[in-house]
Amino acid sequence: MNPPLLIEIGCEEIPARMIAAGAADLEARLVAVLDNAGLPHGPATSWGGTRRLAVRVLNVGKGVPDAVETVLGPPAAAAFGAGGAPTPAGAGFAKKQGIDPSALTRIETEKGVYAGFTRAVPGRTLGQVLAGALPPPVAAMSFAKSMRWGDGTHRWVRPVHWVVALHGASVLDLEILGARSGRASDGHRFLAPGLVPIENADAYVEALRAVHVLVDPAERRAKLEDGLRRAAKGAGGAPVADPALLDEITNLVEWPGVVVGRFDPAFLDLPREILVTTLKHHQKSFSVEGPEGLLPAFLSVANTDRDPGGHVRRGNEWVVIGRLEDARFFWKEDRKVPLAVRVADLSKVTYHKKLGSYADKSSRNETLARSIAEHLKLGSPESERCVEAARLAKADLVTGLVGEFPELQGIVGGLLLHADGADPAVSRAVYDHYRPASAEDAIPSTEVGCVVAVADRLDTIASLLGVGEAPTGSRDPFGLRRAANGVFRIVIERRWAMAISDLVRLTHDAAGAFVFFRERLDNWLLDRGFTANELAAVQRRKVSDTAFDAWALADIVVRLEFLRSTRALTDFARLVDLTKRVDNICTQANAAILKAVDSGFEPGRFDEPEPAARELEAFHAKTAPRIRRASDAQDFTTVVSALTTYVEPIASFFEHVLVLDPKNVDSTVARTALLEQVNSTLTLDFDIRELAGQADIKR
Amino acid sequence: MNFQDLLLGIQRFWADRGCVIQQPYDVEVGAGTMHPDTFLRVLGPEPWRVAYCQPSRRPGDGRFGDNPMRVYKHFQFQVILKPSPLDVQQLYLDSLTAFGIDPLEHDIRFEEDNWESPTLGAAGVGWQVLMDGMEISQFTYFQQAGGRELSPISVELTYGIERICMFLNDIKNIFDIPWNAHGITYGDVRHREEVEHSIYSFREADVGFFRAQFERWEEEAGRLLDRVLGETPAPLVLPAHEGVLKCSHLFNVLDARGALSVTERAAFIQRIRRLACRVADAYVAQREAAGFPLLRAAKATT
Repeated sequence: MNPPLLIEIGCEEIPARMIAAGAADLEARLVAVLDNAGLPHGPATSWGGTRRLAVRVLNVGKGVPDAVETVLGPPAAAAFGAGGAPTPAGAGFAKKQGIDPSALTRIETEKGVYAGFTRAVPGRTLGQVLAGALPPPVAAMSFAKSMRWGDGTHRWVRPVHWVVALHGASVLDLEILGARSGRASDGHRFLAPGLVPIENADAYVEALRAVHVLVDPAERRAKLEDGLRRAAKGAGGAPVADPALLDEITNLVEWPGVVVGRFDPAFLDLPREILVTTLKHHQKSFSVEGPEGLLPAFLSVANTDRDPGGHVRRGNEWVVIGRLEDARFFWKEDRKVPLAVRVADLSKVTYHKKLGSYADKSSRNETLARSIAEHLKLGSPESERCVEAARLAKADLVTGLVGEFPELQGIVGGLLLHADGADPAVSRAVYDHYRPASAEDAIPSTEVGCVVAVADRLDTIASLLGVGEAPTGSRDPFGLRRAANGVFRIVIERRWAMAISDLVRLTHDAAGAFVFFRERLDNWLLDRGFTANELAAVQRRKVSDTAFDAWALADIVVRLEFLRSTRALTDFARLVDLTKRVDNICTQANAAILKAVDSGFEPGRFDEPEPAARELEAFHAKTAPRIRRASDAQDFTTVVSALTTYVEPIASFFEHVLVLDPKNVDSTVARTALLEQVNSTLTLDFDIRELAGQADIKR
Repeated sequence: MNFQDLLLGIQRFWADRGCVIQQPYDVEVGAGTMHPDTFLRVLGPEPWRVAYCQPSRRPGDGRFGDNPMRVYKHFQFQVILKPSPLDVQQLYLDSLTAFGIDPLEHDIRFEEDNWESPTLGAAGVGWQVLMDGMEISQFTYFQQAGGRELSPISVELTYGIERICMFLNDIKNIFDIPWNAHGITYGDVRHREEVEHSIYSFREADVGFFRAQFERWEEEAGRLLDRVLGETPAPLVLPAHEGVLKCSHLFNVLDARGALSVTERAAFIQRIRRLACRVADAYVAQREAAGFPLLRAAKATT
């Protein structure tokens, strides 16, 4: 067993959002350097904190041994003249390689004889490899935002201060971004300032823990969760869960501690959402849930577990109380005018310079909500609620609270409508209509909310595509892809009878909408773990290029899920094989028939004499309707088990019947017609040929 | 520690670390960054260290002297170190210790906060410094100014000295800050100014007059920059820079008055930015023609 390799890069405070990605990137680059050099190694682990990114690779070889390298030049026939002297081509190669032409020899290879030479490549130690090969890829690491400092030569996420490079207990000498490596790391900035020698790579995590740095994010997160739970319990409740906030805070501190702050219970009169968001948004703090609702307390996280003078608590309370006062001020101001009255102000808020104001968008949303309600055949009060909610949905954009907390858009509108005494179905729909906000979030809880949510997104997609704002590459400034994902989720989870073709029609065939929805749906399904082959088998583009686009999205998912579950259980190999043969024969036969027609073939009567053909025909006549009925009922288990019964009759047909009979074109016509009918049944729901043979392409 | 002792102490601290102690610029500005000793000196290759207190006017933040935290005008203490030294975070923390802040009794954190000034064509990367959850300073490595990529890089430290003073004295209202040791408060010195300037900026500033002034200053600065270096009359960079500052302040008042539509607002920002970039170019050309005097001086001393 070789010793582990440790690389730590110490720097000024890294933005929280870049730490996890930075650590993973450093790990990938270090492993690539080892692999490229041919250095054997075991698995790697990476960690990151506010002031450091680190990677440890187990069992790393001490170096690469001496080797002999063969360098091949032009073919021997071209490189050597009569008598074996190098030709100009041979001499030119030697010159380029920096060797004497007389050193060229004839080297036999599998592809022929070449001019060439061998040279000794001296072995290198791990330290030599890393000193040369590691600094450039580390300096080239990509961060969401990087910077220059000092004389401006280096660019990285933040100025680099130290590098630890250890192989076991030995220091490897290298220089990264202006910092010379050693064994000295740095502890917590205040609790244990100064250099910390790392004795060996194995002891890294423990050595840092001793100086108040938890370098492992999982350990920090666990300590944080535990601290929040204990602190909340002390205050008589439990923390209001917020995994995203927990993730962020985990990367804001190296030695997490929790302080409990308190505020005037009168603030609890504010709507819960506003209170929780104020604490989260402005102070990255958690609310505390008591037995009967929120408690007048909050939990803030500090980069220290001590607060001897109570300063940390007081400082956080001071800021929180100021922010809660602001929130209360906005809530009171916003309540002064009914939300419905604010709709008029939307004409002053620009949505997009080519698409007018939010008043224009709201009226487009209304129209769309009406069309969707009609498509879903919603009854009279329900469809009016959809239109009314769409009309009011954007009005909260002109409230002070949404100005302060953009992430509460929709929610504030719903709360204000509720306070104004609006129809609960309408206020709920407005409250929910930005959902799902992420892949983890749920869709709106009511049908009306879903209609408004889909109307809003379809208008966003249609109108922005219409003015040339389609997403390109990694750029999607208006979030059109996310909008499409939201539409797919709602349509599928509500099991709406809505297909790609319906979405395109609802967006009035906006430029590029068809291609956009098709591509987005493919990507979305692949992201859900379906493979490219499974998708192709359900899309059946070789069978029909349009049928798939008219299938309800929910039905597509049902088919994909069925296919995925049945693939492991059913041996499709023979069926795939026969389907391919049927398809091939049909293609060839049709070509032959066309040719015969060109040469004056006149169709005549043909009575099938072959029993195997008559049997297949009878079998198909009996089985096909059954498959069609099962398909209509989406009973795919029956469909597939019925399809597998085709294997024997088709195999027997191919064994005994000649389809391509040049002497009897009438038989070719009749038998091809039969095979085409069979083929259309075989590919009715799935084109299982797409699953044949190849390994699945996973994303 | 009272307000003026804090101010004197922080000046002493940075004077001892080789900074020129400058005085506030005598034209209205929204931030210490606009002072020519920051905005211009960070351009080009010459080293520079400066510290000063800059009263900063933000008409939109005026609250008629009624809000315990927000004011029309506040004091920024500004430090520029060019090139940024590798120990600048420690220098900054030492300055806090010098005011009697013991880092072991507090939670001091550097949280990502990047800075951008569209009007100055400037951008930087850095942090807000939080003490016990409160923002007390901005810490910025300038990457661009006047539309130019910078090299070497300057680091800018901006202390919110009212905040720090309120914290040190455990005071909840900015106007209660003791200004000196003889019973004079921040409110005694500044409250009337807050009331009157809020009334003026929000309600009374003559929009037509401010618009006309904006046009005139833009023209005037443009006239001074239309000249060619080496010819007579020569470009006048510093007066042109004042034109930028004037335009910026006039724009801020028009904005606080609610006199600008969204598109008009963007157009005004663009106009100021264009002027600021021209000033930056003219400044670098002028310093280059003079042989970058501070670069020579630095070489002579080392």
